[in-house]
Parts: sequence; structure tokens; C-alpha cells
Amino acid sequence: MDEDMDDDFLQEILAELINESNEGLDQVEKDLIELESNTYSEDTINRIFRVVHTIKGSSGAVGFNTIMNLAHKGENLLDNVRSGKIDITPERVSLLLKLLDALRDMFESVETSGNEGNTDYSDLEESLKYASEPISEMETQVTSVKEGTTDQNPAPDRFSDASSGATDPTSNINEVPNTALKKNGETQGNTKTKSSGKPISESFIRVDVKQLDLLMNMVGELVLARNQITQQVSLISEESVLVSAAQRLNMITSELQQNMMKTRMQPVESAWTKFPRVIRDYSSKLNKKINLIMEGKETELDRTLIDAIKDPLMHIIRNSVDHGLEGPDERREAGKEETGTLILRAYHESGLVNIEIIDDGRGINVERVKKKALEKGILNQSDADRLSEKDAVNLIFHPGFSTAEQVSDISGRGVGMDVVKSNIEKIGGSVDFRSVQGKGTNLKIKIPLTLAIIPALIVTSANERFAIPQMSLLELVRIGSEEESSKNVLDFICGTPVYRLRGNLLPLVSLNEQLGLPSPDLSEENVEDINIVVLQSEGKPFGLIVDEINDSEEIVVKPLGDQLKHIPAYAGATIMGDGRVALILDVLGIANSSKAMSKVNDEILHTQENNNHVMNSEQTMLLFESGKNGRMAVPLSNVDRIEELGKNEFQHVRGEMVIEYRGKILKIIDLSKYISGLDPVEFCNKESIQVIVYSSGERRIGIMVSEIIDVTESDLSIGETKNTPGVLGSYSIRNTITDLIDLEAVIDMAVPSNQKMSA
Amino acid sequence: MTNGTKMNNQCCTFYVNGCFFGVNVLRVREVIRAQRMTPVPLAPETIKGLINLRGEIVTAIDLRKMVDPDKGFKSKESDPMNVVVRIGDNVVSLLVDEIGDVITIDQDNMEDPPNTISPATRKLVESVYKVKDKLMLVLNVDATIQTQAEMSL
Repeated sequence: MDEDMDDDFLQEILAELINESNEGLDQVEKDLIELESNTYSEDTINRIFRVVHTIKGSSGAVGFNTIMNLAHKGENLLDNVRSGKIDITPERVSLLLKLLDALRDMFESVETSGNEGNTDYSDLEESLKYASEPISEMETQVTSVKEGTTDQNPAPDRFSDASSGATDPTSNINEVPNTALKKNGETQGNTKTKSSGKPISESFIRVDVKQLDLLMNMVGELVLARNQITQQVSLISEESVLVSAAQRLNMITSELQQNMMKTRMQPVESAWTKFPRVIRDYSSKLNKKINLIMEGKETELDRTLIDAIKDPLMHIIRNSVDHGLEGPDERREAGKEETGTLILRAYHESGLVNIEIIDDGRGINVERVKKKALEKGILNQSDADRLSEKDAVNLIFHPGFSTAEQVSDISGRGVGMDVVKSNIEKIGGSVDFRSVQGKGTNLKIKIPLTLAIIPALIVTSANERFAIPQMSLLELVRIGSEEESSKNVLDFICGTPVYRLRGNLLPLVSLNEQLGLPSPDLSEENVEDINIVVLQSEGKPFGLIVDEINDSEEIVVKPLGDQLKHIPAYAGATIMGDGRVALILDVLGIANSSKAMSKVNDEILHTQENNNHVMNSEQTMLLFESGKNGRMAVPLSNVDRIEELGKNEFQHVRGEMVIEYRGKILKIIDLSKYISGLDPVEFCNKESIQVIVYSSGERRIGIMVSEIIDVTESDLSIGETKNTPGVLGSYSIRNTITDLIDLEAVIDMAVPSNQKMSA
Repeated sequence: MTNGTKMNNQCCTFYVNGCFFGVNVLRVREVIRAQRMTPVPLAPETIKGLINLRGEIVTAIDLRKMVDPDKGFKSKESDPMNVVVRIGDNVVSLLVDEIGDVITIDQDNMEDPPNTISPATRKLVESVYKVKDKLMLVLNVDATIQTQAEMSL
């Protein structure tokens, strides 16, 4: 029995030791990187010294002699730096980093197997011992200078006194070879790093994370119980002690919940701790110069989310360092600064935490990406041609995709970006990627502030209640049976119902159908009210048909058991106010598993692209006549101006009709010259001519017309497209067959873009 | 400690489809009567639904269906009882017909599983003991979730 107790006690001590040491080493790492980039400070050195000193002592006390000895050597080196015998040089910093790694490795070994491991660190010890001595005459010179000033000033800031005091010592220091990190700038450093009055130990306490999680859980339960009580009490109409007590309970619980959330909030910095070191190591390994800027590291985030984003962020940064940022030579050739910039920026916006990773590197080579996608069979040629630049860039999120020519050990295995995206989407976030070839890339991640308690919309389908996270909710639409019959409003593409929402086609999914429950056939004539919940998944909206829409509520998200986790339709479960369990729908899962929807989406993309020139909803049209029986229209928004110009202002130059217009030469054209089958505009017996002025970029033309008729609204629903150049289609507007003119095509014909308008 | 060894040999017993099962008491968290259940569409057949156990959402597994895939609890029949067991870090509720006593088993009375039990049942049986005049099948609790994993593949 006693042995057991001793064992437990020892385990506890070891756990504590490992924990504290690792924390200390994390801080040391940060400090060392800072030292390297030339921000020397007395406080920093002291801090590092204290950590190493503590590690030496505590590991020695439990018999970890290797750790103790190594730490001892490090301690000596640091002590010599503190006392001014030696300087902090990049070589020494690298050595200390090696010490750090060694200590970390040994602690890890202790954690996993209870002993320090078998690595021989005698070389490292030797190097540390050697580095603890001043290495050149120059250094001893500086040492003597400092020792000289010691007598005058007992203050610990020796270095600053050396530089700001007598002039001679300063010039001596300047002569020391560049390896010594600058102490001249030290004066500023010192003012910054004076330690603040109160010792840190008084304002913070350490709490086991498990304890906080437990508290968070209990608060979640409290919220549910509160919901139940509130619901029951709302049925009581008269004022009573119970009702007022319930109201107080309500308020207190909400506040407790908010404050509890705050305890779990950590600055995003804690996800970023490893990055400076990683970037330093990678960039020197790859011979690239990279400057890491971290902005907004105090932005706070729930700790579970911080854990979840660490790996994705690391992967993205690796990609930037490996593939995005170029080496100094390539950068110089491209006219950029030799040192590449990598910016990590975090901030709160519209209830979400935004994290941006921006680099000024090569950017994404869209052609290469498309080519790779073709090679891997992710797209076919016609898809690739139709792909917008934004969509092409987002191809990198496709599983199995990687354009890296060489798979380095850092990245390029093609398993990265899609996992990053799905990991981020799993926690309810989104990823957006922008790139300019040659200039750089910008990756923006948005994540919700917390996972546990979310606002949700409750719906009913097949007599069961479901919760839909409000985050994915765009709007609610109801097609009443008493309004236009559903037949008019619903279309069918590839057999799937689609709804026309303000001109855009919205694919519809029936929740009942997705869940394998009985659902009415929408193609039937007499369908009752249809409730559509418009949701968004991966930027593409779709409509979910449910039986009934209930309230909006705050729900506590509870995970489903292992047996149910894998069902894509569900994201979790929750307990409603009446004590019953309700399933939380996974919007992405439902969108993905509806195969009909993906087919429909492709169709929609196709039709919308084809209809690029043609607007779907009602548009304001300018109606005019050009020549005999030439009724035409153009969208009013495209027209610059409508002018009435005196015939004598027109001049004929080289077979063209031009006019001086607003300080420039404006070419006047007759549509019949460019569009077949039209009669020319007759203007002989007129004093003035009406001209429609249209511009595209630098070019401008005036289209003369026989008569401007009117401005009218039309949705171009009756008619068809045409293949005649210059004519988009023929439509019935105001009961007259009207040609819709393609102004862009006309200006291309009249003023080809290589011709410039004279100023 | 003698108490521990005694509990190791105690089983909580119940009936499913006429079969007499037992589960080591140390694995049983509680036994409660039928609870309001929320069905989970798209879930494997053996998962009857989710129940609210004092604020905790617990998956309910229809043991009847596991033992005899053709049967299963239907809402019109008599309500099942819930045997809530621990599986690793998780908790699961097993739906059974009727609860029996808590009995102590004797290691000497261990026997081979009879040939008469179906293959589906056999997967769920860890060992068999002779108890008074009956055979008690010790339920392999982990198998109640494993078999589903296999089934859903």
C-alpha cells in the first residue's frame, strides 16, 4: 500500500515538473527568437536564466542527472551573458535553441517512458562549455570596458550605461565584429522591458483545464434546466414569487454563461507560439529570408477552437514558406525586396474571429493549377475552360491535389489543403482564398467564437423536431397554397425541384426525403404550404423543405455517440425545453449527401453562364427604332447618355461620321452597318438626330437612332436568344418583337480595342 | 480487498427475447424504466433512438433487434427497460424486456455456449454460466456497439 502511495505521489511530482518545465521552455523559445532579432534586454536574459536554473534544480532533485547536467551548462553560459563576460551572438542563440530541443526531448522521454532516454549529449555539453568562454580578444576588450563602468554604476543596466555614458566605451563596442548583437539600441530596449510593478503571481492563478471544462459542462446543463423552467413558467400568467424568481434565474444564468465563456477564451497567440521558431528553422533550411509579422495576437478565442486551428494554420504557413515565398534571388529578379513578408493577422468581425495569412510570394499559378486538375481527372477540359479565376484558385482544396513539383518533407504530399478546409469547416468556420499571380496570396479563415452554445432555428419534420444552426441560415421562405400555385413557382431541373428566388435558382432538398421519411411529392398539383429554409453550404445556397418552422432558440450542442457520429446529416444533439432530445442538422452534410443537388448546381452554373448577357429578372429597357421596322432595346443601365445632336454638327471624316463631343471625337454609327438585316437610319429631312452614347473602358460610340421610343420594364420572358452578331435575342416587349442589342459587341466592331480614341 | 472481488462476481440480469443475460454489475451505471425516445432517422437499425438521462444524451440500443434481427421493440408493445452501461468513456442504454435479480456467479459453473443460440446472439455472448436451473449468458457489452460498426460498414 505504501508503495502505491509513494508511486502516486511521485507521478504527481513528475507531472508537475514536466508541465512547468515545458511551459518555461516555451517561454524561453520565444525569448530566444526575440533575442536573435536584435531586441536585447536584461529582463529577457534573466528570464531565460531563471527557467534553466529551475530546471536544473528540480530535475536534479528527482534524479534526472542528464537533464540537470545539460541545464547546468546552459545556466553557466547564461550567467556569463548576464554578468557581461560574453555577448549574445547568433551562434550562441542557436546553441541555446539546441539545448532547448534537447531538454524538451528528454522531458518527453520522461513523460512517455519514465526515463531521460538514451541520447548522448556530451557534444552539446562541450559546445555549451566552450561557448561560455569569451571567444575572441575583441570580446575581452568589451568585457573590460564594461567592468570599467561597473564601478560607476551599480545599476543592473550595464549595457545601456556603457553605450549612453562615456563616449569612448561606445566606440570600442562599435569595433567589435558584427556578431555581437547591437547594444546601442539598448537604451530603448531597456525602457520597454522594465518589469511592471506587481509580480505576476498575485493577479493570476493556475487552473487545471479539465476543471474549466467541467464547469463549462455544468453551465451547459444549467442553461438547459433554465430553458425548461422558463418554458414552464411562461405558462403561468399571474405574477408570483415563482415567476419573478424564474426571471432572476434567467438573467443570472445568461450572465454566468457569458462569463464562463470568457474563462475559456484564450488569446489566439497561444496557437501561434510555435510559428516564429518554425519559420526561422524552415527559412534558414530553405535559404529564404522571411519576416513574420503577427498582428492581433491578443484576439481571443475559445480554447477548444485554438487547439483545432493549430494544425491547419501550421500547414498553411508551411505552404507559404515552402511554395509561396521565393528565395532572395528570385525575389530580386521579380523586383521585390529580398526578404519576404508573412503576415498573420487576427481580429473580431461580425461575431466571428477572422484569421488572415498573407504572403507576398509567388501567388497561385492558375494555369498550373488547372493543368494539374486536368491531369488528376478532377475536371474535364470544358469545365476547366469555364472556370473563373476564383474557382480555379479554390481547386487547391480538392482532395488529392498538390502542384508541388517536389514533395519536400515540409509539404507537398497533396493531403494538406482539403484536410485544412474540412477541419476548419468542422468547427463551423470557413476558408476563403485569394491569390494574385506574382504578388502573393491571402488566406482568410473565419471561425465562430464558440462551439458549445449556439443559436438555432427549430423546425419540425415528420413529427420530430430538428435544430438548424443559425450560422448557416440565410432566410425563410413560405410558398402559401393560397398564392400562386406551387406549380408556377417551382421548376424542375433534372427531376429536382428548384425555386426561383429573386431571379436566382435555388435547388431544393426535402428534409423528410433526406432522412428517409415519408414526404409529399412536389410535382403534384395541389401541394399545401411549402416551408423553405434557405441555407448556405460552402457559399452555395440551397433550400431545405420542412413541414413546420418553429422558434429560434439557444441550444447546447452535445456530441453524438460513436455509433451515430458518422451520419453526415447530423452535427450533434440537444435537449429541448421540454426535456426531449432533438437532433442538430449538419448543413454541409445534408448538402453533400443530396446527389440530386450537386447535379442541379452544375446545371445552374451552366445556364447562368450562358445567360450572362441576359438578365433574369425585370430590367429597365430603353426602346428605340433604328431604320424602318427596326424596333430595338438596350438595358438603360448600360447607356451613358441620350443626346439630341444638330445635324450640322456632324462631320464626315474618312468615310466615318464623327462629332466633337465633350472635348473628344465621338464616332457616330448606324447599327445597320454592323448588324445584318437592318434598314439604315434616315435622317435627311431632320434637323437633329437622337444618339445613344455608350462607352466601354476607354472607347465610346454614339449610336444614331430613328427615334427614342420609351423606357420600360421587361423581364424578357417571352422570346429567345439569337446568334446574330450584335444581337442578343428577340423578345416581345410591349407586344412588339424587339431586338435586344449587344452594345459590347457593337462597340467591338465599330472601334476595335487596338484603336485608341484620340484625346 | 474482499469487497472488490465479491462485486466482480455479481451480475445484473435481464431477459431479451426469452434469453437470460447478465452483465457484471461494475459495468452497469443504472437501471431505469422506459424513457421518452427521440428516433434517429438514417441510424443503423439497432439504434432505437436517443434518451435524455438527467441532462445527458444517451444512445439507446435495441438488444432485441441485436439478438433477433427480425424482432425489435415496437412502440405499441410493452415498454422496454433501460440498462445503462459504461463502454469506455461512453455510456449507452440497452433496451431489454424485463429485469431480473442481481446474482452471484461461481467461476466453477462456467460452461460452453450451447449450440442452440443463433450466430447473432453468439457474437454478444462473452461466457456462459449455469445458475440454479438456467443458463445465463454473460453479455459482451463492447460487442453491442462493435457489431453496429460492422453493420454500418
